[in-house]
Parts: sequence; C-alpha cells; structure tokens
Amino acid sequence: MKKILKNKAALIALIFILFVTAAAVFAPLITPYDPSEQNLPQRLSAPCAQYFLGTDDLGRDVFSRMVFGARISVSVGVFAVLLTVLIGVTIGMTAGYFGGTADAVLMRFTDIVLCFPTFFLILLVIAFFEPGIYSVMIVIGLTSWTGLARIVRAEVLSLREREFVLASRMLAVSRLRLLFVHILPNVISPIIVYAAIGMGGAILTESGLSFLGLGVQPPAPSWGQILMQGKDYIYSAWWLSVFPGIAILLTVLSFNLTGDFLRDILDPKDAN
Amino acid sequence: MANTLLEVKNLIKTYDREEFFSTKKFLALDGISFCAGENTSESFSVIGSSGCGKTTLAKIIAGLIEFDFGEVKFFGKNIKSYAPREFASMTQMVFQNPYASLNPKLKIKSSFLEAFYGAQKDEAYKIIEDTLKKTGLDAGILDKYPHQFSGGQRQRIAIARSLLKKPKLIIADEPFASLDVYSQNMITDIFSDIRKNFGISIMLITHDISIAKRFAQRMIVMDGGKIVADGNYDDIAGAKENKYIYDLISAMEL
Repeated sequence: MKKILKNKAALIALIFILFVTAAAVFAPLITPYDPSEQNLPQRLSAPCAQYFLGTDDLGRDVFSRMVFGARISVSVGVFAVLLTVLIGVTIGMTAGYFGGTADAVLMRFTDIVLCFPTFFLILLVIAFFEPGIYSVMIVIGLTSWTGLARIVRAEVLSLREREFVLASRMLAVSRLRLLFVHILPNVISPIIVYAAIGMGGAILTESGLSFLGLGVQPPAPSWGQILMQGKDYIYSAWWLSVFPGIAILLTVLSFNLTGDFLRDILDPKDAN
Repeated sequence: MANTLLEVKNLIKTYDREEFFSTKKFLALDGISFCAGENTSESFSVIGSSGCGKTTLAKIIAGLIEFDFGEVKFFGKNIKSYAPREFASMTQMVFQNPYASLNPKLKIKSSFLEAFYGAQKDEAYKIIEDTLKKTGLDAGILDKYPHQFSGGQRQRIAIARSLLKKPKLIIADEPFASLDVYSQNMITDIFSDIRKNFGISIMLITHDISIAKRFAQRMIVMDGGKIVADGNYDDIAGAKENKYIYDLISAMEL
C-alpha cells in the first residue's frame, strides 16, 4: 500500500482504471443522452455546452457514446484476459508439471500458435463466426495465451523441484493438492502481471478490429468504432477521432503501467 | 531380510546431459550397496564432496526420483511396492535449504495437517502438539507463515513436520549447511533427541567429516558415485590410500 503511494505514475494509472471501470458500470447514470439518439440538425457540432465532446455525423453525443464504449472495451478486456489466463495457465501447468510427452506436445502446439500471424488467425475466426463483441473476446483470448503458457511452464518446472513440494510429496499428498495448493499460488504473481498488461493489449486489439469494421458492429459504440467513423471527418471534425484516441491511449497506458508496478512489487527479489 | 530397516543393492542411476547435438549419459550412482539398521535403529552419515551423488542417493531412497537399476528395500519390501501413505510412514526427508522447505503461502498449520489427510482432526492436533513439545516448539507457530521465522526455526519446523508420520528413517540432506553455528548446534541437538526419544534412525548427508564424526559411529564415504569406505572413523582413516579419504582426513587434522 505504501509502495503505490510512492509510485505516482502507478497511482494515477490505477485511479484512471477505476475511473474507466466506474464509467463502464454506471454508464446509463452518467451519460446525458442515449448513445444512439440522433439529433440531425446538430450533426458534427464541435464541443460546446450542450455536447461537451461534440456530436458525430448523425448528431449523436460523442461523450455518451464513449462512456458506453468503455463498457465494451472493459468487458472485452476482462473476458479476453480471463480466457487467456484460463488457457495459458492450464497448458503451462500441465506441460510444466507432467513433463515428458505432454510437455513436448503442448509446447510444440504453443510454438505453432506463436508462429501463426495473429491477425490472420483473427480474420480466419471472424470469417467463420459473425463479427461482434463475442467473436472479438474469443479471438483475442485464443491468440494471446502463448506467452503466459511459457512463463507458467517455466515457473512450474522449477517449483516442482522445490523442497516444499518434495516434502509434501513425501507426505503422500495428492497430485491435485500439489498442483492447486502448492504450485499454483506460487505462480500467481507472473499471472497477475501478464493479465494486467494483457488487458491493455486486448483493448488495443479490440479497437483495431473495430476500426477495420471486423469487431463490434454499429450501432453499438466502441472506441475503435467511433474512431473509424471519425476518420472521414478528421479535417472538419477532429473531436470525433481525438477523444476516443485519447481514451484508448490512456487506458492501455494505465494497464501497462499497473502491470509494471505489479511486477515490481510482486517480484520476491524486490520484496525485501 | 524383513528385520533390516534399509537395504540398498547395486543401485545405478544415470542422468541425461544435453550437449550441443547429442545427449550424453552421466553416471551419478555407480553400483551403490549397503544395509542399515539390522534388528535395531541405526543412524549413520553419508560423506562426500559435491557432485559425488549423495543427494541423488538420498532422493532415490526417499522415493522422489527413479533409478535405472538395482533395489531399495525397507524391511525387506521393495520401495516400489509400498502404497504412498504406507511409504510416508517409512521415511521422511529434511532438506538443505530451510527457506524453501515450507510453502510460503501456507500457514504452518496447513503444512502440518497434510500429514493427516483422511484422519480425525482431534487426533491430528494431538500428534502435532505432542511433536511440537518434543522438538521444543511453541503451539503458537501453527498460525504463522514461514516468512515470520528465521532459517534455524524453519529448519526446526521442517524437522517437526518430518516426525508427524512417525517414520522409521529420516533422511537429512545437509540440514546444517545454510545455518549459522548457533542454529547448527540447535539442530544437532534436536537430531540426537530424535534418535534417543523417538528411536528413529537418521541418515545424515554431509560433506563435513567432523560433523559426521560427532553425529554417529558409522560413516559411508562416497566418491564419484561409488562407496569408497564404510565403517567407523578408524576404519575410514585406515583407507587413506583413496585420494578423497586422504584429503578428508588431512583436512580434519589441520
């Protein structure tokens, strides 16, 4: 707790994440307008008292759309990262603990996924399923677990030879208990760090996909989508691209800073 | 021989050593044979320099790693034919590094209760309390985490844990190596108590012949994966034609 107060950047990043999350959760309470309510006479109006982040080409309030967009970005981030952690930890722990053939097969599979051009894989999955928020979550989850699997495997590999694990084995402790009570809690810190940085990555990928029209479909507002709509008006209506851009930038930056901070405090070498 | 605590017969263990484009076999144990504890408990030490295979031997006897050839028997029964729980009350191990011997995320209580999986809780606590008393530990330690203890205390806790299953043999792999002199003496005292009060045999693995000499009559000297001498101090001192023993004895006489 003391450490976070000392680390100003991490503190600000964490406050910003809480702020974005709160905005996502309480979106209907915060927004002055419905995100898809059109006001055509006021289309492309610059930031003013009535629409303080301006309106888009259909006269929709950019601020309201961005707050609802936070909902999509945060939920895509959370679910994609949950999927990433689930796959990465399962594969990493199985490979690391059982070793031998299981390790060889799982790690070669990981290498194959790692070698695959991620964007091609994403396009492939979206070609098979419909583009939309769920496809985006699944696609990001399915492509970003490889690094985590490698980290977890390496940790488990060294933990299973640790004295306390051997001592528990000598007490005839079951394999499940060894894995979930002795090994998993001791690899939790790299997993948390990976998840925090992965959140930023997932939000960025979602924005990229939505920008290309392959992610969240209109009229649902997402940051990448607002950005895409704004690109046609970038010279005349800068607010359409700049505000969602800033939101993506700050959110991703905040998750990365938090990830770095967590790595620093969870690293046992720095703990003392 | 059903009355013999431990029999090791012609034990051979190789490790694979990966080199650039090939895997070479490295012979860690090259035909180890000895018996211990015929009709009675017997404590002894295994002496050897690092890399001589003494930890490998300990882990094989503890059932933690596989071996290529040979036999290990407790009371005439092959260790591979013991059920895991049954084997747990045959032998337990105390490790060199007390800082890694206890799970940092678990209270001492949870680590201790692992020995009593499936047993009655009251009974388990009774045995735990009894063991704590005999190892000079306070019942208050149970609700603490490992990081709240010093190295010496952790080693004492690890020893207490190894006693919970009431094993016949405790294998202690360099239990003093990372401790200060005060803690070393404390642990040595605990071990002699265990031998006297519990009647448990102890196999002490060490590289220090003076500790071995103080610890027990019998010493087994290993070098290059083989036993080069087995007997009391005088027997070993008599085998000075072996280079390693010569070095050991002369280091002792300095």
